[in-house]
Amino acid sequence: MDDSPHLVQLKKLFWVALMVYVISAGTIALLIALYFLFRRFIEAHARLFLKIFAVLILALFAVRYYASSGSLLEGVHALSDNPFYGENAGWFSSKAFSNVFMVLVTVDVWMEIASVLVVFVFPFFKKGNVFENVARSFTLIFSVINIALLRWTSYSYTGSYGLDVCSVFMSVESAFVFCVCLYSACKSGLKLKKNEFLGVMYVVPAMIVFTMMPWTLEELFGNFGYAHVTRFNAFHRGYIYAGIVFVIVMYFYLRNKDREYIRMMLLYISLAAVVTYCSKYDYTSLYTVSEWPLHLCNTIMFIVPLCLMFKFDWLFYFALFFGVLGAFVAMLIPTYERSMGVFSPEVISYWQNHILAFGIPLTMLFTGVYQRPKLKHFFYSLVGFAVYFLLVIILNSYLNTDFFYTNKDQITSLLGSFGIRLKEFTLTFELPNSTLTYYPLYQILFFVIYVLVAFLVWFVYAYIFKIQDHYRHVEGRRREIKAEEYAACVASGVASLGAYQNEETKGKIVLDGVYKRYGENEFYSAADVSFEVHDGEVIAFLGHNGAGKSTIIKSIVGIHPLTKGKIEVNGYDVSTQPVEAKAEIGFVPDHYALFERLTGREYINHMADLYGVSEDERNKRISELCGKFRMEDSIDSKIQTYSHGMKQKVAIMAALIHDPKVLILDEPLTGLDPASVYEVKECLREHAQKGNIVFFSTHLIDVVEKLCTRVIIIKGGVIQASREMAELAKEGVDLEKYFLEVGEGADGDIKRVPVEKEEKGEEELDFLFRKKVKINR
Amino acid sequence: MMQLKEKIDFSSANSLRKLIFKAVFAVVTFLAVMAIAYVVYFVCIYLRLFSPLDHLPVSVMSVVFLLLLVFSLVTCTITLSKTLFLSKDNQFLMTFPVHASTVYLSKVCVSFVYEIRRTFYFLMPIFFAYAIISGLPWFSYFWITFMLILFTGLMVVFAAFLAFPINYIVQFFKKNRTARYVGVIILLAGVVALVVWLIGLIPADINLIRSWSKISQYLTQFLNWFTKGFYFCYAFVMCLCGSDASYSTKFFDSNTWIVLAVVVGGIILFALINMVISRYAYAKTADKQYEFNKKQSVRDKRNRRMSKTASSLYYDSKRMLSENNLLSASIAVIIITPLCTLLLNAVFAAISKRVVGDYLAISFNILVILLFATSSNVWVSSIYSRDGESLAVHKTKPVKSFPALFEKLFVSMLSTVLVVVPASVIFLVEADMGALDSVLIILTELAVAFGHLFWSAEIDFMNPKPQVYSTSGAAGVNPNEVKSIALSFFLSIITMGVFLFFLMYDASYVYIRVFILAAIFVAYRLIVFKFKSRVMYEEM
Repeated sequence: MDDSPHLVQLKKLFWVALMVYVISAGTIALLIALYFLFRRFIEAHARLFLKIFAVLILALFAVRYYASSGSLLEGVHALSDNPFYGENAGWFSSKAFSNVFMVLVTVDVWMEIASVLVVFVFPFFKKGNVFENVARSFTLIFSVINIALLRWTSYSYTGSYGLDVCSVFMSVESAFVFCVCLYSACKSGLKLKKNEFLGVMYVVPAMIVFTMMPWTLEELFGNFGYAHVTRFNAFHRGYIYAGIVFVIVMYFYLRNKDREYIRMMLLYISLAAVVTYCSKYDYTSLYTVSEWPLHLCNTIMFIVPLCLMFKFDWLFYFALFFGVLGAFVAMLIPTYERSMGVFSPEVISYWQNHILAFGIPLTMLFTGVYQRPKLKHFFYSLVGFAVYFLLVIILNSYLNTDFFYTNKDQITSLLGSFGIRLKEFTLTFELPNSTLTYYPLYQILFFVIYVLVAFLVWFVYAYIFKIQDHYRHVEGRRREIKAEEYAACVASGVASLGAYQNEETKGKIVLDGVYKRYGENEFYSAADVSFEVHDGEVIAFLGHNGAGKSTIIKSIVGIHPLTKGKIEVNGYDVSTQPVEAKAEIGFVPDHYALFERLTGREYINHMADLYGVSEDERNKRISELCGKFRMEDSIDSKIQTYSHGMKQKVAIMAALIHDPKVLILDEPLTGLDPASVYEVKECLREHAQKGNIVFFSTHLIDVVEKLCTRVIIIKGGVIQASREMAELAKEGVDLEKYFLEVGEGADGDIKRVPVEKEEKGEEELDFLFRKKVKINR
Repeated sequence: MMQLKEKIDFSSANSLRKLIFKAVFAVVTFLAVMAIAYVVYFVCIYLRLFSPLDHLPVSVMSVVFLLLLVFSLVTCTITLSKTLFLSKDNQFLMTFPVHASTVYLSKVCVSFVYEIRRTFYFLMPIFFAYAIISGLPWFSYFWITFMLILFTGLMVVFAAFLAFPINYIVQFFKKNRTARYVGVIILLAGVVALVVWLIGLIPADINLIRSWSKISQYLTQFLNWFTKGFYFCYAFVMCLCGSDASYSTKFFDSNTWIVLAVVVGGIILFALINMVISRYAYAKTADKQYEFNKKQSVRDKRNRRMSKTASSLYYDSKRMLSENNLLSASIAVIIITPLCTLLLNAVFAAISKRVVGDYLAISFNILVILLFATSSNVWVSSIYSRDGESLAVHKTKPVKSFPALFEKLFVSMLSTVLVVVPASVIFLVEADMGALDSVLIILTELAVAFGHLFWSAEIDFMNPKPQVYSTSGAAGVNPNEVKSIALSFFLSIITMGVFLFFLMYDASYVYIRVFILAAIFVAYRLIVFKFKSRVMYEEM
């Protein structure tokens, strides 16, 4: 039976299609066979083989991507006409099916690009990374779909159903992608663990968004009724905001991730940017020189993936200082035609390029992929910029192009008549086939201004670093507090601390391994301080000036945070339950620190309010304490009119107003007259006799001898002795001599406990202010 | 040197990078002020505001000079009287084995160095810009520098001279409550009368373009009157920038030498007078601030119980309001802001404007109100540090960190509402705005002012400077307040810019959009304030 020409054509196409699948299946079979043949060798060098395959896949992809002469968009559109070769294919020929099929192939083309990039990226990073998990789940599924739709995806690229180089390359590439994904799935299992699944879910949306072709939005949503992006209109502003938001979102998304993850993610995004940007090119584009991507931001787009794969310091800082600035200026003053639609591929491509050229170097810098720049880095990048600038002005004059807009009148006009006059000064060189024209004064000024502005941008970075360090410090502190609270909950066996009171330390002050370091000091002001104070005790804290007495006292009452260790007051942890702990304490500060504009009565009433003392109780106590300290005549005068002694008395009265379990006093007897000293001593003794704790620092040995039950001696921030007074008396030890021996030392030489190196934290040098910054990652 | 180090940060001298950074900053600031002045002069010349010829007459500069002189003299006198008489370091400086006049002299010298710095950032670029735009010869730059240094010296010795009587007046008002209230009432009445008088002067219809020739005539008449009435200013500026002689500028004529002699003579004369006065009166006057009249309150001797929050609010507010400077400054701003708005809007109402003019009027009103509201909150950036050593007492209170810090802002928040709302109501009634738009504008202003307030308070507790209020007293410079002033300008200008931008480019739903932005800003600042207060309170 003679076949009709239509049938002949169909048969031919069928055999061609079959060839495509045979190549793909054959490649898979070959690879599997090779794997089983050389299994031991391949397994021994698995990572290396994966890298080789990654490079091969990208090479195949690049060749067939740029070798296909048809437009991808047109190819996809053509599918809607007749994907199954004829009008007699029944239901397959219907328009509805064609449209659904076109969308399916479009999505497949999109995911196929994403799959190639995933498979290229993951082998270069440590095993088990998130992109590897994507490859063994998401990409594996799409690679199967991609092979199934191979015939039509290759048609989308080439616009032909014939068997050409592009189809063959694509078949092999799809087979490679499938095999790599299959290998990963076999090695790590098909099922993802919960955290792996969540990791994949984080990555997949980004993976899809960044491989979106520039024409996708226009195809999906049209063009906003043909609205245009003109200078600073809502759409232009929207794109600028998108650029800034991109950096912020990327920073917050990546800031706590490890550097491998950040590099991997940014590498994927930057490669996706290159691929999508280059969708407008094919190999014929090489013939049109003005189309070459040699504008600064295009160049940066190609540089960034290199900086992420390799350690190219000078290239990165070139992108950071000069590229980011160029991208930002280009975002403010877009150079495309004003009549372009909001979602037109040219506009989308322009913004994709510039947002990424602006955002990725900044994200790399602020997430710590590259260190903060130093002066030498600026000089390196300056050399890079000089080379680039020289190259573009030579090319511009030789090829009559306008890369980096070094000849653009729009920029000249920004300098006004001065710029135009400068440009009038030209240098011309005659060559056999062309004339080279340069504008030396104008171009030098252009270069100098750009370099100066890039240098000023450094100050902006420096300011952002300051903000970043500040927030890192705050965030680090927040984590410490959380960790302390969690540890305290675990130790106490309760879900939430709330008003939990530790029965073991109830009625005591307990210091356990307390360390205190001020700022970035090289030594501790208090080191490994541990002691207990029990109810009914009157404890004196003795030490030379600067021994650490006030530091310990201020740590107990909650003025200073601890560097290490734990303090509990009447069963409450000072660090994790500060409000409860403070409610148990009455504190008399040194230096008569009071609210001087209040009267004595107002100050004491304010303190009574804070500790919830009832009106009857406070009336009784205030009149009692006023009588004891002879303050009846002065209690209603402003504190600023008091003598030092009177201020001290008011401070003691305020500390006693709520009858605290723990009374802590920092040198309470300084400035008091003898009668008041006696009253205070009596007061302290009575308070302790009621079953409370009295803890005070002093330099008065005789007071300690007469009043205290125990003495604690501190020297250079370290506790030297803790002795019962009765015990010392029994041994016949003179306290003054004992203190000079233990607390002062024979030669008065005081050594501090130095801070261990590893405790100083990771430090970075602030590049402009040269300030050491502790980094809490 | 010891006092100088206390006042000016010399730490950068030890680090080359810091030095470079400071130098770059100084040069950039100098150039920025010079550029702004240049642009203003350029616009004046371009519009032929003061002269039909292509130049700016020296008489204009003499008006500028008088304004700068008054401003510099007021600030210098206030700073000096604080440093000389109110600074807490007097307590130990007076104990040094030197005569009190030596302490006095050292303080004046420190002020001189400080003022020179201000001259460099302020006066010098303004006159340099004039020299550039007038094409003055190269040596004039050195001459201007030299003369401005001499002028600063004269200003400092004169301010030091004025500081004595001013201190006596301040002490008098401090001790005499009735006189203080009478003084404040007279001052306020004067301000109100001045505003009413100024409003009466505004013509019913101001059309700048139509009546330009008349205005130009007024300006020329005013300049002629000024050069005669304030000849000393005119003569000094002629000495500084040369006198106009047809199309050339003449330097070093007889006027120059007379002015130079007067300035040098003035410095010597006032220095001598100051030396004599300080020898006999300084130690006595400086000690006055530590003398208190011990008074016993007979009104309230009862102990009263309050809740924690009420007690903190009551006593913190009481302490703040008992600081006379703060109270009087707040009252002054609350009264002056509506008056200024009234004056401003009377002028705007008289000017026949186009739509853009209306937009500019709205934006400018918002700028003025915000500048008043935010600058009156600058002191919040030292609200916790002002407690000095008693800052530690706050930390021992058994209360949570956020309420402890937030309660102290209550008075400032109330004062902000009192500054913003009346002034805004005046402006909105004058501008004939709709009710919803009016409410949104007021809420936007409040949001920005509160945002600034929270930010300023956060600056203080993140980096408290109690030592400024503990050792050198009011004379110390708190860098947090400098930051807050910068923020005040920045936020006010940004808000005005945003309003103007939206009104000019995209006028739909402007007020609601700007309000949303302001609400996001204040919410963010409050969240950050709360978060940091919780996390960083211990480290305060």
